[in-house]
Amino acid sequence: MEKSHLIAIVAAIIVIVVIAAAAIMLTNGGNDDKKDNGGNTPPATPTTINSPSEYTEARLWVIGNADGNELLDENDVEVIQSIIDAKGSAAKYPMADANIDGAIDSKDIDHVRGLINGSQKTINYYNADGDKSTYHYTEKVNAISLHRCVSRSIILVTNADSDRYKLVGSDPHIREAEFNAANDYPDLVDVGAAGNPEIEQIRNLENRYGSVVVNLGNVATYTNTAGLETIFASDPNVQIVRLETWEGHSTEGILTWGFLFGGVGYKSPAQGGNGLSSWDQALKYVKYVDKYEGVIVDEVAKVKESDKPKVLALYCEGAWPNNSSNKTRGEGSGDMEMSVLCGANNIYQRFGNGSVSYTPEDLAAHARDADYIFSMSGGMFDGDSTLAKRAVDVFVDKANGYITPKTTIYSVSWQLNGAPHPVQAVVFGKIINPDSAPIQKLSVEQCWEEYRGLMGWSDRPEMAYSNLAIWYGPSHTTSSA
Amino acid sequence: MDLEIKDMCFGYGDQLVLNNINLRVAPGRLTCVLGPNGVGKSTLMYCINKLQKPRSGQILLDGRELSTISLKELAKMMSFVPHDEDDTFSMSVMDTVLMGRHPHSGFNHTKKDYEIAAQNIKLLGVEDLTMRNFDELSAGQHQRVLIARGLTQEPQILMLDEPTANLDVKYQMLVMRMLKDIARVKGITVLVICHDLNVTAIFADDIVLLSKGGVYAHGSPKEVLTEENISTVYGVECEVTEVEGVPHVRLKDGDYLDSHIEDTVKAFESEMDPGQ
Amino acid sequence: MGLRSIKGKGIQVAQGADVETIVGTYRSSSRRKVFGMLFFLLLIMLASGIAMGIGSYEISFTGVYSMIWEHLTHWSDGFTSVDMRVVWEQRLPRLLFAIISGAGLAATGAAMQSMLKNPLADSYTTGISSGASFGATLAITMGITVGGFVGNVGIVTNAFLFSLIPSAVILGLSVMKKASPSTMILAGISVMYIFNALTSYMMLVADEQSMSAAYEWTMGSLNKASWNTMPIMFGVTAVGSALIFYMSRYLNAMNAGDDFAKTLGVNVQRIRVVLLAIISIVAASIVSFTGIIGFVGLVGPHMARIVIGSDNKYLVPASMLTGATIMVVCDIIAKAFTHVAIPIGIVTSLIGGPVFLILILRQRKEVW
Repeated sequence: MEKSHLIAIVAAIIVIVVIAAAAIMLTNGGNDDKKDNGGNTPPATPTTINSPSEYTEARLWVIGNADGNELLDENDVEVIQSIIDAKGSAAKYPMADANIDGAIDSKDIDHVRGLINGSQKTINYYNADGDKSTYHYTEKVNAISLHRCVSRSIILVTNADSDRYKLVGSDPHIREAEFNAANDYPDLVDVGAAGNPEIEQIRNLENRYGSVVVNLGNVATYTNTAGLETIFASDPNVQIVRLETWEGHSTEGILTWGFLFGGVGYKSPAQGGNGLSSWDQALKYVKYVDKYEGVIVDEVAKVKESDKPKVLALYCEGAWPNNSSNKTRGEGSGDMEMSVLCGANNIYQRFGNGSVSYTPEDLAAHARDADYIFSMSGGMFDGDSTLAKRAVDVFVDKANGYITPKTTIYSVSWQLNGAPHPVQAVVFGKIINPDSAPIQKLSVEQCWEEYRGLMGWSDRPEMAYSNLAIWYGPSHTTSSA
Repeated sequence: MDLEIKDMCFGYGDQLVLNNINLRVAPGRLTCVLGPNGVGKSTLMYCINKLQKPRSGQILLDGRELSTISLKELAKMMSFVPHDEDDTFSMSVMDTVLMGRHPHSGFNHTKKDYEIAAQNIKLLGVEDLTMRNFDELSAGQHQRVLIARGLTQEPQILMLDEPTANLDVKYQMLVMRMLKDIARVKGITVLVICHDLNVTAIFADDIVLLSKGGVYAHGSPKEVLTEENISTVYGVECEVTEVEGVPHVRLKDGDYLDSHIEDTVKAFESEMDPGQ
Repeated sequence: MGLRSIKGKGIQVAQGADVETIVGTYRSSSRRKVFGMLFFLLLIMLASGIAMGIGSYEISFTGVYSMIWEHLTHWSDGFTSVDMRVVWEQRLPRLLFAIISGAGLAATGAAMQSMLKNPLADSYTTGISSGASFGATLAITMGITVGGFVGNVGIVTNAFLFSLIPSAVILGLSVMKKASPSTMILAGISVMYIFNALTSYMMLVADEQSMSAAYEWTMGSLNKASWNTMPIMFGVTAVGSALIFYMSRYLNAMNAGDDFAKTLGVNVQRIRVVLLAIISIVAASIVSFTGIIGFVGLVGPHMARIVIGSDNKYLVPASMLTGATIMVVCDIIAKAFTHVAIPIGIVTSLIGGPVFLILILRQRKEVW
């Protein structure tokens, strides 16, 4: 067979397979981005939930939260009672089986009441992999975080009362300026990066502090950590907690963490409590997120898929295109998910699944109809905004003629890329939805400053919005040929 | 070309191989070098064509000191035919023979180059092998091709190291006859290392007999190939008769084997025939 | 060595033929060699068209050539379409890179084999590849470059300069100790071990991203192809190959053995040194841009040898043609299956190995 024929056939097969894969992905993935707009009236009877991934409305994954809202309260007890009356099975109503014994009975009601009044120290919850996990409530939380994003979230939820919570170990990247590690966490132990935690260090911390909680995300993203549960299975003093921070939803994990660390027996100020707890903090965060992302999600929901702007997020290195670290930001990168949340039709899959290398030719083949390109580049984690500008300039220069001038290019600097989810969402949202008045009314500065307050960084002037370099753009190529 | 060697010594380390060689080889004649294994016949040739450097003494070509002649210049005057050649990456026969023109030609071969090569190929009777690859040939064919190459170099001194070792009797005679004729007709000096005493006797104009690092005898076959000389140099008994003016050496088996060989042979014999 | 069957090995000369026939037959055979090479050239052009037609951006076979033609004839108009831009800025440089590196590696490989009388030699035998890897890894993982250049320039200059060290060692040895071919090969191997050990250590202690970048460099790729980098590689390769071609008759002489070459008046030592220097510089200039593309320098000459024989005057140009062809075909394969081109060094080795085995099996020579 002639070489050109063979190649044509192979190319055709590849094209068909990719289209099929894309079709499958698009129909299967991502319906779980809808956000609940805060607990209003909980549904009286729960719908049938077969797995946590279907549980799109609830954000508190403590098992016992039978009504699927953000709170564990008497409403949940009522719902469980109605299920008992209806003789519902645990298989049909998994969130009602608070003590995970496979049956829905009065023991579950006792369990939930115990969590509410503080007598029950065992909390069952669904973790980031959809597995049932058990956490034993502890007065003092010595937290180890295995990724900078995890660190950010842990600091958030444990910020409320630092007597009870201590960040004792983390990955090396927490040395970034935002965490102020040298000042605020001088005893912090480096336990290795997300994919390669150092067991020895974890044990050292266990010995020093008596008990530690290791916080990380799902097994797929934290690839080499799957063995951690096995290693520490018989050790009650080391608890492995997997809850999302950045792999999926913006608030996923925060509420559950908040509850694990401070929700048992929580009494709000109205109930006579002191209002300082990670649970409290988590609730505040959720409300803050809803204030911004709620608007974005609602507005985006009104837009027809075919009207959504085509967007591509790219990682660009200065030496591009003569190196291979230039990759699209595909699923799992966070940037892709963010753009979709903010109303984009992300076209990354034209290049291949996941984050793949691209050449100028690929841009010509796939991205000529892109409305926006968001570029990210290494070295920007130094917080230098000149790098953001330079990255865009290099990209524009090299992509000139391969993409059209109608494509608007923005670069994303560290401080935005590392910024909390809602801040990024407002930036992306405003760029992608120029015609939406409610989204345009949102203020990036305000969003940041609120976050800054929540994190307890108000006394750090360098964290003021005016000192941050957020992004560079819009930019355009000049030649369409 | 006149070749003269004066007081030449050659050795490895402190071991002397050739000691005080004095020799004059005349042009227009076929001169054969004889001697036992390891006496230094090849070494002598290597000193002459500058592959080895003698420790002392002089080698003169037409009165010129060899040390003053560059390899390149020497190659135009002298050619060497080795016993055989490694045939990794060998070329066709014609290409191999054409290599002999290397000292005389530039980047491209001229018509004359091709003709000279073809003539020598025909002379050695290997024209049907012209386009064949060197590594496809037998040892005997190898030798003829290499001789053709040596001739193609059109030297004034032609040196050959055992050129007839793998040839059948017909080709042995043919080659030696041809070398003798070429020496006479073209007036060049031909120096050949040989082992076969009788073939040498028939064709050589002069014989140089080396023994124990020196020239034992130098002269016509009749003068050199005597029973005493052969006995002294080779340690072998023979009877030399004259056939049509040419000495004929008839070797004799006998009790002149080296002592340790004799013991071994005796032990072997007694094994074969016990009780003897 | 026994007689082999001839099996139709082209025109033969009959017994008893005269001088004119002998010469005529030889010269017509030489002419056929030249035509054979021209045919190969045509093959390369065809393969080039196919190679340039593959990529995520769709361009037809004829489209490629028409884009090349149009740009050449309307040079001052610049790029008038995306097709033209893709062909000229992306595909053509890559193709030319493939051709130049293939030709250069094969030409130096042929020279190396003849010079060392070793069928397993190629331009990397002297340790050039390990020197280049060392230099590149030094730049990538530790940022240490000669002259303090950064980025790609630093990697290229490092690779180039360090690749010359092994050759320098061997050259020094040859000059000082009158080294034989085997000594040269052994010296090259020793240097290779040293450099490889150092390179491995650097990769071990490097962070993941640097390590994978360094490793990828050693895989050999055409990704750095661009019009900026091409002049150097082209110039050095062209000049070097021309010099090797010019010295082909010395290579022929050395093929017959050092000693015999001397009797032809060839100053073997000096020629060897000069050749080694040329080979090193050409190979180094290629390696520093492409990384290590193995196998082409080894197989290209052998493929040419099988067809055209060991006369270096034809072997060197023929090797350049086979080397270029191998590279273009491997480039086609590298791009045909996945969206991102497989590093070409992997393809050349994967494809080259079995192809070479088949060639050897089909041959009747037992010499190698």
